[in-house]
Amino acid sequence: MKTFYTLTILFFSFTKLAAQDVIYFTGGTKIPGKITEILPDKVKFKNLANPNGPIYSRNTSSVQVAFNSTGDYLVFSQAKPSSDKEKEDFMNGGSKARNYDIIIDKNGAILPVSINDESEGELVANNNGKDVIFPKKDLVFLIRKNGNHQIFSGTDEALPYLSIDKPKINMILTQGSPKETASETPSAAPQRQAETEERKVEEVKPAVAHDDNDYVVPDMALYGSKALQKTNEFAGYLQTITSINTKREAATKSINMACGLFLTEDARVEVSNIRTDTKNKYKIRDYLNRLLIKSGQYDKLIIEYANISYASKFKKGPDGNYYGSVTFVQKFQGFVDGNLVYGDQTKRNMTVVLKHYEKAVNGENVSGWDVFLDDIGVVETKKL
Amino acid sequence: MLKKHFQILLMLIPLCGFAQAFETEFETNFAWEVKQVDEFIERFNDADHTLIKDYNKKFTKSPLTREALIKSLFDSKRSDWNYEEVMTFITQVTNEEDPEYLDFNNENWYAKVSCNLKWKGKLQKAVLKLNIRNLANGGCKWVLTDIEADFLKLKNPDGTKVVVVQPQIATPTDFRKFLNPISHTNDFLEIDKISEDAADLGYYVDKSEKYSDSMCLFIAECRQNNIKILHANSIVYTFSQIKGWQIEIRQFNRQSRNSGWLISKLIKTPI
Repeated sequence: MKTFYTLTILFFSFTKLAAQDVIYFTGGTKIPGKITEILPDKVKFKNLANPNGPIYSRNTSSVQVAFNSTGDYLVFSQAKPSSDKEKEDFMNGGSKARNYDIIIDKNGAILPVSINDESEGELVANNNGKDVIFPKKDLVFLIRKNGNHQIFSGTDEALPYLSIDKPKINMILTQGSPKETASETPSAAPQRQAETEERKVEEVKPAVAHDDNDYVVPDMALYGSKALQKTNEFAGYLQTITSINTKREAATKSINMACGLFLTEDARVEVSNIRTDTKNKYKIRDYLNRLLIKSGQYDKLIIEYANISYASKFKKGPDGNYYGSVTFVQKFQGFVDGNLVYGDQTKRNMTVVLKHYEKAVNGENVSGWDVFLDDIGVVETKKL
Repeated sequence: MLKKHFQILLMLIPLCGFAQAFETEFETNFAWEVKQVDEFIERFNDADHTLIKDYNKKFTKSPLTREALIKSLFDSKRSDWNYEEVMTFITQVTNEEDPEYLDFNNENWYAKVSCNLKWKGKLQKAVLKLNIRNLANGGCKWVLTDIEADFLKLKNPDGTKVVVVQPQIATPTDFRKFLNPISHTNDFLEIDKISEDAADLGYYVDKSEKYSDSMCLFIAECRQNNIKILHANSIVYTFSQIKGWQIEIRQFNRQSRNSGWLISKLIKTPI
């Protein structure tokens, strides 16, 4: 009789990110952070990718601009330093109700609008009662009514606008509605009449690669149960695949279902052998098929897991997904006629991916995150 | 209550048939082992709510100090440490007024990955240098920045060095392929992807105005499909983030509390 101990409890505990600042540095990098102090020559902040980590410090000469979560921003200029009041207002950025979005185009026009629609290349927004299409290539930056921002042209190009236009932007932000800012000139960028009637989205929009402010950073605690579910499912499929009582068709179906838990079928599992001291890599489907064949060599197979493991923090990848890793220990024992014929204890690292998705549900765009397994490597294998 | 940082706790049915003492020793060694480079950075920085701190709380009310944690990160089996230098280093980084920390996203560290590969069908060895690159979306990835290999030290028949041409590497604007930011936790299991398709080199190779001669030849050979990276054998990480110091860490697989990714070298550098 084969025995397999399934995973019982998987806790994911994460932090919901506090209201974050975004700090832009010279050299083109930026990080989500929380500024804790602004000194004449230094900016101190926490890196929200490591919220319990140290407080970092950078010379103000290497910081270009910082935005807080309400859309307020501070330009760090050696020629024109911010006043103490400006710094204080920025640091105290509380929730501010905004009725509209603000876009600044390359002609210098500052426009309070209401964005109705958006694609990879353009915005459709109501400007003074008229729907207008704004090509993003003609824009410098955008501050949304929810406080998010987006820089289209690159920080170096945006800096002069951010600096010079700040008083006007502040004035607009404190006013009530777009109708009260008739003094602003419309952008000279080409305008096209958009349909004024409401559009119906029939097709599924592709997941656009937004600026990282446009992706709500996943609230990891919410996905704990999904990760638990996926890991338990994988353990369950392994049990079915390796059980001597499982018929071929059921085992094949379990292999298919197990593969579905992985990000892609290109995910690989590293396998080590204590007899040959080598490591081989197999794609997940090949690994599971090998496991099915191997299980036939034994009349009892026990796969167990240690009750302690380690997990890294998640890191954002180039594709906007988040990548993490778990180190755990697996014990494998194969018996024939009650005798242990093969046994090893393997320390493994398993990659876990949080992947963003967008889809249309009942005519509404829904976005969220899903959990997938990915490559599984071997740290060390010992003979039992 | 939400914890302050991302952490996955995997709690499973205990191993059957293990004696209580062995199980405790196993757990203790596992908790103390520096299992990933990320854990090394966490301990060095005295981050909150780490596995080792949570485990330590089970046995003592005395919290682990940062000094104690950093001491535990040195390979204790090495007998020729300059202890005066080690203490100077620890005192410097734990200075209350101006503490110093390691930062994964600070690009002043790199991995040197010893690999097996095939060049024109013959097994060869090479050391690939990989760095983290931060990206505009707030994410990051690993990129290949240099390579050292005897087979890339090509010479003309008269013994002179082969003249290399700086390659043009187009950096793709999409992110279909990359070495993800936690590739290191699997010992760069996916490092073979670098040489999988010559057309994809731009996804993995760092953009540079001037590559070393070895990199130029490596890129040229990859483009002719003469190189196939097989797998990584070992990795050494070098951090140059602490003023006046360079630390090298490598993996020590042994059954003891002092195991995993540990400081193997501490080198004084000019400030």
